[in-house]
Amino acid sequence: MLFPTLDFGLFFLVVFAVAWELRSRPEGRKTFLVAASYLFYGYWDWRFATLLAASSLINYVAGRLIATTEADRAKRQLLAIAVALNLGILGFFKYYGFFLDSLASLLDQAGWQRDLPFLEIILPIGISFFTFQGISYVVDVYRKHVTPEENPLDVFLYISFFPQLVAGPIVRAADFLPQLKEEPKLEPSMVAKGIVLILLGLFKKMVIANYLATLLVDDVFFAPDAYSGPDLLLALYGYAVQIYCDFSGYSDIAIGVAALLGFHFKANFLQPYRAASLREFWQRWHISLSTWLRDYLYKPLGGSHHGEAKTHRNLMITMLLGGIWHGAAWTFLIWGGIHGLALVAERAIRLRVPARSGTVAVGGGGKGSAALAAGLPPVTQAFKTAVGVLLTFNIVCLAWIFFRSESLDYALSYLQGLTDWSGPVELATPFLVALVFFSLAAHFVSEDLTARIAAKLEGLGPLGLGAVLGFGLLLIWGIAPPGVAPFIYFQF
Amino acid sequence: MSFVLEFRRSYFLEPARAKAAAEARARKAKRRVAEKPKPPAHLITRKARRGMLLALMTAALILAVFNSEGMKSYAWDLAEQPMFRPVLVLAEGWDRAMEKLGAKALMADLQDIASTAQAARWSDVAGLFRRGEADDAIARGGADPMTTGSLPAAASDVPGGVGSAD
Repeated sequence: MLFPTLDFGLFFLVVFAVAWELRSRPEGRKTFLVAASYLFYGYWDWRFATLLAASSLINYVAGRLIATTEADRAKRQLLAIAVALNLGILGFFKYYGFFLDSLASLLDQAGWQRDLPFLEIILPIGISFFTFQGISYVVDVYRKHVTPEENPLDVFLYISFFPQLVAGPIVRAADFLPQLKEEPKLEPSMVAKGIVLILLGLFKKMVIANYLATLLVDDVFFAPDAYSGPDLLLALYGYAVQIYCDFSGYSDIAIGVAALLGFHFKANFLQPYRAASLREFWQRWHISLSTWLRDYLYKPLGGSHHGEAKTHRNLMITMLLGGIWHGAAWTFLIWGGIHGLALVAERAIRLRVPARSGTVAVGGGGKGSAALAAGLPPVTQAFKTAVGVLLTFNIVCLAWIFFRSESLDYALSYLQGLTDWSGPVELATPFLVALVFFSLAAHFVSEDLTARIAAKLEGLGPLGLGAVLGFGLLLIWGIAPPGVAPFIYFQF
Repeated sequence: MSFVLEFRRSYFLEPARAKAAAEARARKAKRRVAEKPKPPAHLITRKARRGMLLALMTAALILAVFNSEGMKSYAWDLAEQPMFRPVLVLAEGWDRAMEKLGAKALMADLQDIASTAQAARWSDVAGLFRRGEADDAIARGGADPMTTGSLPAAASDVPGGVGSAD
């Protein structure tokens, strides 16, 4: 079930009414939300729901066993088994086809042609997201960051809760499970926040992302050698905007829907293209994944506590695995490699150049992306920040070429085409240029603008809010291109 | 002497009065808050839930009135199953009624705006700016730069152009 459809609208209307009706009966409410989540997920393919249930069961049982086991060694072994099972399921569905193809081609090259067991594997939507939540739960139980749940419903709801199930944000057990213990509360501020985020997310996805995909990005990335350098550059910046609006749009809707059901989720995107460094970019882009990778991969590898060389190695490993997580392809590996190298280079420079520029404050109010300490005159500092933003944005865009391209050949052809500015400019219409320009410019408005709009809406009353929601939806449907395109991150 | 009194009034009496008034206002506000305790959480939740349901219903009504076409096409998809055929009949009747009322015009206007924006060329954008200049010039009492300004108004004004004397 896709968010921007009437099906989902009707589904949500029922879920909202019944879930709040059951608020005085916690077990009934949780059971209903689990059932609704499975219906939401099984709407694509009921077999996916079975997999989701299996994953939830594995993590629930693992959590209980870890909690009841005394010996540390046995706990570690249980944790390893649980993580291996989670990664095994993920790996099978995500990489089976890739490994089979690679093996077949290797055998072919060696002259041993064999008919390998071919299976048509459908990648279950959102498998990475619920697997990561499962791993986070068992690891946090092992680390004693969360209390192991006795009630399986809580774990099942944590892993399957429909707003964030298929494309994140990756919610932590420590943030979600305590909310199930409290009496559900709905306040006017949550209602206003939910409506603003749902409208904003729908606008980002249905208008901006869908126009850029259909009028610009898809055609150019399909045949990069047919376009001139300026068109390729516009399509590249267009893709940067498209993937941001697509993905953050989904997160906004998910956070908004969860707020209307009484759950608080943390922000997943904070105007990422205003980042003045790669490090800051990753504090603003897909925050729930970057913090997941930091806590469950980078830090267990040693983080930054074992010297510079090992820190750089850990950064590279984390980013390369982050790339591979998106899919088994060289293009994703290179995407991760570019980010890893850029982070390593940035860190090396920061260690060598005295840090006069101070620290970067993310989400710290509306004073720009880099709240920089004293030491430099404001004009010099502003210039440095502007250069940092431009450089960071273009490095990120360079990596997007590999991320979006069908294959390495396409990506190389795209890079080659970017250097040739002799051809005609065909795609730079005022509409597309304005779409890209204003979407990027919106990264530089105040960070708390959405919260302020929500605060203004709070005083409107139900009819006013209904009018805002109704006319907002009407406007989005009216100006959006026809059809409902799936979200990009469903495939991951 | 009057200077001393004035000084006393400006720098001692008035600030002290203002401070006392502010304190009194704060005390009053505090009393008001104390007198009106915040309702319990379950009552806030109940009110917010009712409000949200009413908002959802209002939004659904707005969409049903102004986007009856969307409802009709959704009913077409549903009508593949015989049990939903009556829904299609209802949706088509509703759509016709909305058309008669003129409610469908809003959606059509929005779609027109989007199509015009998509089809716009840079010359249209330049034209918009020139139009703005022309309006400014007319407002200042001058001639319209769209037809005069630095550009010749007609071919006959161009030396050697069609219809020129030389």
